[in-house]
Amino acid sequence: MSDLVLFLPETICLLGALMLFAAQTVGARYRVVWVLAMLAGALALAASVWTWPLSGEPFYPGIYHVGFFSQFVKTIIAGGFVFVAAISSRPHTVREEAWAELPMFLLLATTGMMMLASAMELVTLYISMELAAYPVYVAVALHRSHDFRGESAVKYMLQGMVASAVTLYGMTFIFGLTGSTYGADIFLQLDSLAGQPLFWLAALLVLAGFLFKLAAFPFHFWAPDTYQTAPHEVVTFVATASKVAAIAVLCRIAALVAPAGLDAQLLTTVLMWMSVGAMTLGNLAALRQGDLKRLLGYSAVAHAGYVLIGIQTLSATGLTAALFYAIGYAAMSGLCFLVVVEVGRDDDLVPIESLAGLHQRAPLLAATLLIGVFGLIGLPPTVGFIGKWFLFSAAIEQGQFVLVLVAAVNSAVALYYYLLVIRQAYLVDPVRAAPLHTGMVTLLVAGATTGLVVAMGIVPGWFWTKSIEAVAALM
Amino acid sequence: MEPLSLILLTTVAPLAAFTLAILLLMQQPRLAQIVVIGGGTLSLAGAALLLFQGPMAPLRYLWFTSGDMQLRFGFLFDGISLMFGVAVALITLCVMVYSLGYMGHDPSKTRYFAMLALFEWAMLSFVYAVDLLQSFIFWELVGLASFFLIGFWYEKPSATAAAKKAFLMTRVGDVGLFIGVLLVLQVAGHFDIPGLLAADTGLVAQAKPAVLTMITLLIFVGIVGKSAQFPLHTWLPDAMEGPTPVSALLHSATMVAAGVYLMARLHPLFMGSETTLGVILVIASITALLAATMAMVATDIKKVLAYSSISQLGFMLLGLAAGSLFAGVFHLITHALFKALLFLCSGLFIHHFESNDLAQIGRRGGRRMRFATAGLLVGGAALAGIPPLGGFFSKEEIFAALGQDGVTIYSIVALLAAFLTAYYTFRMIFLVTRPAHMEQPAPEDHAHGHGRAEPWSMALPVLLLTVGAAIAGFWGSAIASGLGIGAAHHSLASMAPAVLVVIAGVLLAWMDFGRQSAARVGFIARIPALEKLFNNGWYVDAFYDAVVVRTTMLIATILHAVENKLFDGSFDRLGFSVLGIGAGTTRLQNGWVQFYAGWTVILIGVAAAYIGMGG
Repeated sequence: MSDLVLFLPETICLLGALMLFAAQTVGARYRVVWVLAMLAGALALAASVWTWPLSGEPFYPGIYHVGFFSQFVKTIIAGGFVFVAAISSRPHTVREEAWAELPMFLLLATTGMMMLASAMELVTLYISMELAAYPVYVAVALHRSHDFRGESAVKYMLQGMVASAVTLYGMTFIFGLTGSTYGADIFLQLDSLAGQPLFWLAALLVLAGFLFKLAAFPFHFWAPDTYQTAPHEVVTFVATASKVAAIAVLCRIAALVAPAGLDAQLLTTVLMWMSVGAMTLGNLAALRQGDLKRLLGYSAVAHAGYVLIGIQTLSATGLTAALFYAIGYAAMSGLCFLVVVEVGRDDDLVPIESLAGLHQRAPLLAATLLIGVFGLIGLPPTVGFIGKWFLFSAAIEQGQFVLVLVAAVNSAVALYYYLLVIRQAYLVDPVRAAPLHTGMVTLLVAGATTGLVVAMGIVPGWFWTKSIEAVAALM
Repeated sequence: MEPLSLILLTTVAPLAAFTLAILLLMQQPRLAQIVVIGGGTLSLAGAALLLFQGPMAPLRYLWFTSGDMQLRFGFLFDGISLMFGVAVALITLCVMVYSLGYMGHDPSKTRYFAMLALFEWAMLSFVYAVDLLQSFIFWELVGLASFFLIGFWYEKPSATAAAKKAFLMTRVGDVGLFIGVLLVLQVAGHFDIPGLLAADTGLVAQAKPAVLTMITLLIFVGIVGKSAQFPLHTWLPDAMEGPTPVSALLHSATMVAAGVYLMARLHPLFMGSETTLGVILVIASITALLAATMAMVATDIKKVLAYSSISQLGFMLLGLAAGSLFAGVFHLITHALFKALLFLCSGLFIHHFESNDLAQIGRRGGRRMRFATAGLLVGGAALAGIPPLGGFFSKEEIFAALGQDGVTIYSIVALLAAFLTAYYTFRMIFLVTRPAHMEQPAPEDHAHGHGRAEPWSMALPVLLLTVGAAIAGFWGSAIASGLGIGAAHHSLASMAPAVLVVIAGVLLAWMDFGRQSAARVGFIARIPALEKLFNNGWYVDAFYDAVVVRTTMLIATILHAVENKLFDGSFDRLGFSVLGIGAGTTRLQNGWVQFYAGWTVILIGVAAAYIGMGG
C-alpha cells in the first residue's frame, strides 16, 4: 500500500479528471469546474514536489520507476497544467458548451505525460504516450469554430497516429532483438546489441513518436498547422507541458544508451542532422509568417532543434542542459501564448498585427511578451541565454564545433522575426484602441512565470543543480 | 573606501536609477531625470574614487557551479578598466545632462533617461567584468540597450529600421564571439580573465597555436560587429537615426568602444597569434581608409562624424594589432572625448537649425553659434590630429607602433587615412563656418522657443568636453603608467610625416572649401565614378541587400510558397476527403496530410539507409 504513495501525483490527476467528468455531467457551472481543475492541478503539483525524496516502484518490478528524475519532470508538467488551467478561466476559443470538458481532457493528458516520465517498459511507455496524446486530439476538436475544429484535430491526430505507429514498429524490433520489453533487460544486452545496425534503427523508430511530440524535423509538419488552428488554450498546453514530457522521454532513452560507453555514433549522427534540420527549417520558415501562432509553431520547431543539440551528445551534461532548457522553454513559450490567449480572445486566427500597440492597450501583457520573446531570442538575463549556453557548451565539450556554429547562426537569423513581434507590440500604434483587460489570475501567473524566466537566467544555480541531480538519478 | 562598496556604487547606481525610473516614475519625468542623473553622478564618483585608489586585486564571487566548473562574476581593477570606467561614466553623465536640454520637449523622456541608465549599467559592468562569460552577457546587454536608444523615436520608420539593423548586424559578429568564448572554456576550463592572460599558465601557454588563432579570430569577429569594422560597419552610419546625444554616447565611450575595449582587455591573447594580428591589420586598415573616403563626400554632419568613428576605430585596432596596447587605449580615450564633443556640438546645430545638412547649417549662420563653433573647432582639430590636441598624440603613438618594423603597407595606409581625416574634418568645419554666402537669420528662427543661447544644460557638457578634448593629449604618460608601460618619447623627426599629412589635408580642404573663392566642391567630384562609389558606401550595403538578404528571404519565400501553394493548391483532390471525414464541410484537403506523412517516412528511410550502411 505504501508503495502507492509513489503514484500519488498521477492518482490525483486521474481522480481530478474523474471529478471534473462528474461535475460536468451534473451540469456544474464552468466557474466551479475551473476551480476544481485548479485545485487538482495544485494538489498534483504539491504531491510531485512532496515525492521528490522518494524512490521505488509502485507496481510490478521493472515497469514503472519513481525517482528524482521522474518526480522532477512531473513537477514541471503539473506546473504546466496549472499554468494552462489558470489562463483558461474563460477559454474563449473553445465552444462554450464544451468549456467544462477542456480541463478534464487536459488533466487526463497530464496523467499520461506524468506516466511517460516514469515508464520503464516499452508497452507501458506506449500506453502512456497514447494516454498523453488522445485527450489532446479531442481537446483540439473543441474549437468554437466549425471550420477549424475538424480540420486541425484530424490533421493533428492522423500525423500523431503515424508517429506512434512508427514508435510501436520500433518497439517490435527491439522485442524481436532482445526478447524483452523491459528497459532493464534491454540495457543488460546493450553490449551485444550495439554492433547491430537494426538495433539503432529500432531505437530511432522508437524515438520517432517523441520527436513528433517535440516537433523535431522531420516530424514537425503538424506543428505550424496545429499551432495556427487549434484553440489558443490547447496550443498553450501543447507548447509547454507536452514539450517537457517529450524531452523527458528522450532524455530517458538517451540515458539508457549513454553511459554504456557504446559507440552510438550512428544515433548521434542522425539526431544531429535532425537538430540541424529543425533549427534551420524552423527559423527560415518563420521569417515570412504573418500569423503569430504559426510563427510560434515554427519557433517551436527551431527550439526542438536546440534541445536536440543537448540530447544528441548522449552525455550527462548534454541531457542536463536539455532538461534545464525544457523548463525554461516551457516558461518562455508559455509567456508568449499567454499573450496570444488574451489578445486573440475574439479571433480564431491571430495575425501578428493583432499585437499592434499592445503596450498602450495592456502594458503588463506587452512586458510579458517582451520577456518571453527575449527569452526565445536568447538574450541575457533570461533563461533563454543561459539555457542555450548550457546546450552549446555541452556540444563543444564533445567537439561539435560546426553544430554549435550552425546553431549560433540560426539564433542570429531568428532574431529577425522575433523583432517583428516586438515591433508590433511596442512600435506600432494600436488598431483597436480599447484597452485590453486581463484577469487577476492571468496577471499573477504572468508575473510568476516572468519571474521564473528571469530568475533562471540570473541565478540558474538552483535549477541547474536540480537538473544535474535529476539526470544523475537517470543515469 | 572598500573597493566592493565603490564598485557597487559605480555599477548599481545606474541600475537602480533605471529600475526606479521604469517602474515608478513613468508619470513623473522631472523626478526621473533627477534620479537618472543622480545615478550617473554617483557612478562617476565611484569610478573616479576607484581610479584614485589605483589597481587592486580583483573581486570574485561564485555565481553557480556547473559540474566541476565554477562560473564566477566579479570585478577587475587594473589600469585599463579603471581608466576606461571613468571615461564611460564621465561621458555618460555629460550626455545625460545635455539631454536635459536636447530632449526637454520629448513626451517620453522618462523612457529615454531610463534607457540611458540601463546603457550605462551594461557598459560599466562590461568594463569591470573579471569573467569572460560575464563580459559576454553585458556585451549583449550593451547591444540591447543601444537597440532601444537607436530606435527611440519609433514613430520614424527609419529609426526602427536602423535599430533593427544595428542589433542584427552586431549579433552576426556575436555568433563568432560566442563560439570563441565557448572554445576558451573548452581549452582553459575557466573564464577568469586574469587567469587566461597569465603569461605562464594562461591561454597562450595552454592552447595550441592553431587553436589560439581560431579563438582570437572568432573573438575578433565579435569585435568587427560591435566596433563597426569592415564588412560589418554599415549599421553605424544608420544608427544616427537615434537622438543626437545617443549618437554621442554610442560613438564614443559605449557600444562601438566595447569592441576595441575587449581587444585591449585580451591583448596578450591576440599577441599570441601572428595570423590573427595580420588579419586585424588588414581589416582595420581597410576600414580606416574606406570609412574616411565615405566621410569625404557625406553632406550630413552626423554621417561625417559616423564615418569618422568607423575610421578612427580602425586606427585603434591598428595600434593594438601593431603590438601597442598603449596606443590603442590612448586613442580610445582621446577619441571618446573629442567624438562625444563633436556629436554634442552637432546636436547644438541640429537642435537650432533643425537640419543635418552641413551646407545648410553654414548658410543659415552656423558660425554665429559661437559656443558650438568653438567646440567644433577644438573637437575637429583633435580628430584631424593637429598638435597639441588629444588626437595628435594618440595617433602619433599608433604611427610609431606601425612604424616599428620600418615602412609597411599598413603605415602608408594609416598615413593616407590620416590625410583624409584632416581633409574631411576641415571640410566639415569650413562648410559650417565659411559658407559662400550667408542668409540673414529668418525671424521665425527665434520662434521655436530655443533662441540663440544654448541652455546651460547643453552648454556645460560641451564646455567640459571641450576642455577634456583639448588637454587629453597630455595624459599620455599618465595613461601609460596606468597601464604599467613606460611611455616612449618620440623624436620630432619621427612625428614629421604625420604632421605633414595633416597639414596637407587641411590645406587641401582650405583650397576646396575654405578660401573665399573656393568652389565648395570636393576635389573628388572631378572623378565622378569615385564620388559615386564613396557616396554609396562602396556598395557594401547594396551587396548585402542583393545577396544576403535576398537569398535568405528567397529561401523563406520558397518555404512559404511550398506550404501554401503546393499543399493547399494543386493537391486538393488528393486530400483527405477520401476518408469521408467531414468531406466538403471542413478545409481538410488543405493540409495534405499524406504529403507530410510521406516526407516523414522518406526521411526515416534515409536515416535507416544511413544506419544500415554505417553498420
